[in-house]
Amino acid sequence: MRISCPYCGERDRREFYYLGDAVYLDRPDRDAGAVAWDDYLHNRDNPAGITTDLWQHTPCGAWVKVTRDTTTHAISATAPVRDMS
Amino acid sequence: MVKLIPQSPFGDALPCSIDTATLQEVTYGSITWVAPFAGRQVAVEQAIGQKLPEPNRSVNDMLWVGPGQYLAFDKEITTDQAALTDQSDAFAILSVQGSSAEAILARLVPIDLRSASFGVGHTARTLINHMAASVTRTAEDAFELMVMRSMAGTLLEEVSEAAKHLSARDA
Repeated sequence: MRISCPYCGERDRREFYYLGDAVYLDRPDRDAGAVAWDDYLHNRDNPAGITTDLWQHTPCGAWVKVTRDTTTHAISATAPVRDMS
Repeated sequence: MVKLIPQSPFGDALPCSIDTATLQEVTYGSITWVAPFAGRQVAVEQAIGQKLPEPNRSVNDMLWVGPGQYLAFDKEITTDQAALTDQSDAFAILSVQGSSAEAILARLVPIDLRSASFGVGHTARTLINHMAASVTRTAEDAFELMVMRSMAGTLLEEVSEAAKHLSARDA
């Protein structure tokens, strides 16, 4: 598997560290309530198909949002998390 | 101030030659990590009087080491537009020079370092086996490998082993 770092280009999977679902990017408001926070912290979809997750290209430090298909392992998009905040 | 005696992270192992490859330590008097604050790239370039390197490039005495991060070698930098930290003792830098340099690194680094895609002045944040490193081509037959100082022994061992295996194969 090869992942494209937005800064360094296409690199081997061994250069990346996996964090988890890209839901981490949508942090609820402080007072959003228990249900929203429970969702954010604990509940994850496990789709057979398109999913988005966060990987870090550890040598350069960039966090990357990766859109991929769990049934084909095809990666359709990568984007730098740095530009999303 | 007390003048301290600098000690090499590689001990007394360098310089050395393995077949056609020469390994040498590269030292700098000072290394400064420069991280321009958001949107202050141009202000920093004005303050230091030169362009910051593009991603995956090194220019003169500055090296790109990640998004929005640069290292400046032996360069006095004063600006309030960037975060600056002294990293003078943080790194071990090994120069690998010789006609076999490319072939040695091909055994250690998982990217294409041939000159057609990785020319002089190109740099990459990548792995040397399991170590995160900066790999920079400084000449047609020479590379500089930069790792955290504590990894110096491992770096030297990895590169020496690869060079010895290559030379045994060619013999």
